[in-house]
Amino acid sequence: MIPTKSPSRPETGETDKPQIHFPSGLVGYPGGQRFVLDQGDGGVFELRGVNVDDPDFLVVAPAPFFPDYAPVIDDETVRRLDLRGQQDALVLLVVTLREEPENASANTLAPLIINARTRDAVQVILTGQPFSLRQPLLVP
Amino acid sequence: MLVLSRRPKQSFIIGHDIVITVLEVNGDTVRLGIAAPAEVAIHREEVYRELQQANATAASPSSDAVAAFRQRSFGRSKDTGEDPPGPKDASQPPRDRGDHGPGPDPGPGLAN
Repeated sequence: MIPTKSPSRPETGETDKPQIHFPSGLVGYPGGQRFVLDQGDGGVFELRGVNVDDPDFLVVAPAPFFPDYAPVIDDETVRRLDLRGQQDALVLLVVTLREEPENASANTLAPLIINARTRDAVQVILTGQPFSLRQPLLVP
Repeated sequence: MLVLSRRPKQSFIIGHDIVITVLEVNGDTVRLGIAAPAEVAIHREEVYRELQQANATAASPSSDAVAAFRQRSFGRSKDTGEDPPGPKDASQPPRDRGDHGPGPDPGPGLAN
């Protein structure tokens, strides 16, 4: 097991954006494997499916919203992603938007774990940790 | 659906490399051990379904909704007189509240 802390923001700035590869897709979207991460401000990013049929997701870095968020990544995921240390693991949370922006929530139970070195990624389910599929983002 | 009977300590093999072993039967609870290649994700079905639903709800938000959220997200730290719960300014490093040693490198850079 390795602990994580809320990641720092991924840097962008180049126009040719490297792809993030989800070998197993996201849950419910097994075919959606390649995404680019668009730079956002304030820890808000857009994860865009490379293929037309793939979904896009609004994602956030946990730090600005949940400073204490520190999920523990299980050994299987560490092995799968070849994470060699804390600095490899970038954590992003999938955001669900609703009609009112105030009702937006983040999925802290099933974060996206990205190996910043290899750009391989998985969506893990953090069983046994006190997180939520719908954690309010803007309301304390 | 294929239906098979097994006793504790007996197993099934699915394909060539997924082994499911009945470990213990206790009343209405069965404990199973699953050995599978690392690339095979294993989830409790109800958890998987919930996540599937959550991802579907989150997928492909409208650009209007994204814009509204971004605005609201930025407005938040300005509206309140209190400290925002984290760095809102991307030029500032995140605060390290963990006990996990030195913070990670601020970004190997997913998009460098």
